[in-house]
Amino acid sequence: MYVKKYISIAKVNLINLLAYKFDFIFREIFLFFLILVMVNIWSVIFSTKQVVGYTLNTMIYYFMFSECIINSRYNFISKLEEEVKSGDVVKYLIKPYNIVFYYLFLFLSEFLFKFFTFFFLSMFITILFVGFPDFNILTLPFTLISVFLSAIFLFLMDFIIGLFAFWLEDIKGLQYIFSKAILVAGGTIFPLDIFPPFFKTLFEALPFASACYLPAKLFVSFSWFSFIRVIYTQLKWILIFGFILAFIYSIAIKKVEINGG
Amino acid sequence: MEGKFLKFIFQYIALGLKSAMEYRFSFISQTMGMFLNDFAFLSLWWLLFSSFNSIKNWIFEDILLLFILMGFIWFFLGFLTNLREIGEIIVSGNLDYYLLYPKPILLHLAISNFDYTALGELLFSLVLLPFIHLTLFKLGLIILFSITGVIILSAVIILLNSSVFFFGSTGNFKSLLDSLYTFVVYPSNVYKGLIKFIILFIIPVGFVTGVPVDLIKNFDPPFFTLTLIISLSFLTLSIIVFYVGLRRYESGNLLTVRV
Repeated sequence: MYVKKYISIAKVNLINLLAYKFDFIFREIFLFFLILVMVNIWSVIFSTKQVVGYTLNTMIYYFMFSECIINSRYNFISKLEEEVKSGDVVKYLIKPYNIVFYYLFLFLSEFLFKFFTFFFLSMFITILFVGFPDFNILTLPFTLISVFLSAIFLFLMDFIIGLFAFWLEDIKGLQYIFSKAILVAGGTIFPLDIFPPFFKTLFEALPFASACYLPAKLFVSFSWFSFIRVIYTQLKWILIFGFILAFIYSIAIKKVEINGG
Repeated sequence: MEGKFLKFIFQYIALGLKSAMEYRFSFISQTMGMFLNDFAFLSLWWLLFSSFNSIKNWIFEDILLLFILMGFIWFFLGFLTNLREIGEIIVSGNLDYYLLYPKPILLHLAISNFDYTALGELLFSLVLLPFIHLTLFKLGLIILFSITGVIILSAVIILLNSSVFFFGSTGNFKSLLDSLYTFVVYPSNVYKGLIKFIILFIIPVGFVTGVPVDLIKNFDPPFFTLTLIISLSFLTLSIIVFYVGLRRYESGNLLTVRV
């Protein structure tokens, strides 16, 4: 079976991941502190001002959800960069699997495992701080579709950055730019709705909103209309980024030189 | 004696810079990356303050001050980046290398790696300076509090890593440290009660940027003195814990080659 081999790769990755379970706990401590800081900041803001469309409760749940997404990312860029520079990337040309799908399944297995772990633990923390959600949580299974698309979007973006290792001596600078674009325009910390109208409109038109803002907003204010709109927007950007990846990959792979022996 | 130490420190820094310059593109792109990182984070606060003018008496200029201070602190910490690795070094048995040299072990450990991306932090702070209402007195305070901030954070890092001497495992200090840093990079005036007490007197990260920003705005001699006392006593405590722990260190007789 074509997909079976990639599922096996994902399984092995998950087993490896379980060896580092303490890293999750420490990462969760980090999320605990982040949520604590945000609860304090937003409590102060909400005590004096109204924020359209949000309560303290939904704002903290939004933040928690978006942090779970962004912290679940599997950082494979440095591994890919190393393989490109050392020439190891050539091994994918002679093995019966495709490099993009190989990394996609690694990414998805790690992302989904981390996401559910963080989400489960962070829910406890958030309930502790601001109580049970004010909103309908039964729509979560539908929101998870958006999370899955967000994972694919993040993967495509990271893979495109990784491919630049074929041309650039160092891609960390590029990595910084994109991760910060997600931080600001992707609504990782603050939902785009609280920004001045010009920036809100601008950031919503950019692809980065597909990473955190769209799924997290859907989580706290689900409606069938917004669900369809979010899924449509995410699929649109996945398609565009997919084409960009395929285009860059087709050029990059021509740069691989194989010496016999 | 002090001259010898200074020469030793400067030689290490020069060596670090030289090796960084070997990969010039990496050096520039990573330094600029750090600059952009700070810029992105600051623009986030700018957007927030565009909507909410102030957060409990903190206005956007206070955030600028916080970022300037943080930039200087991360820059100075860039010279001490190896402190974060002490736990790993102890567990892997690589501490033997440092024990063999006739130099102060902790100082040698601290400066033997240089994170050149910290130059981006310095650049960012310098670019921001003209945007705040600056007097010579304020500038003096910024520099002084950058040093006390570095002292407190270094002490926290040393204490966390020294726990390896006693408990034997490194855990994941980097995540734990990142957790503590959250109290440094967000406005500190929003905390109250127990949390405020903890970040001021138990793990005094509140004195890294929070209290200093308030002091630069409104100078208060008793709190100024308290900042100095807390930073120095916390450093002393961390050095004592490190050296007490060092007595428990057992060499792994590991043979390594340092290039």
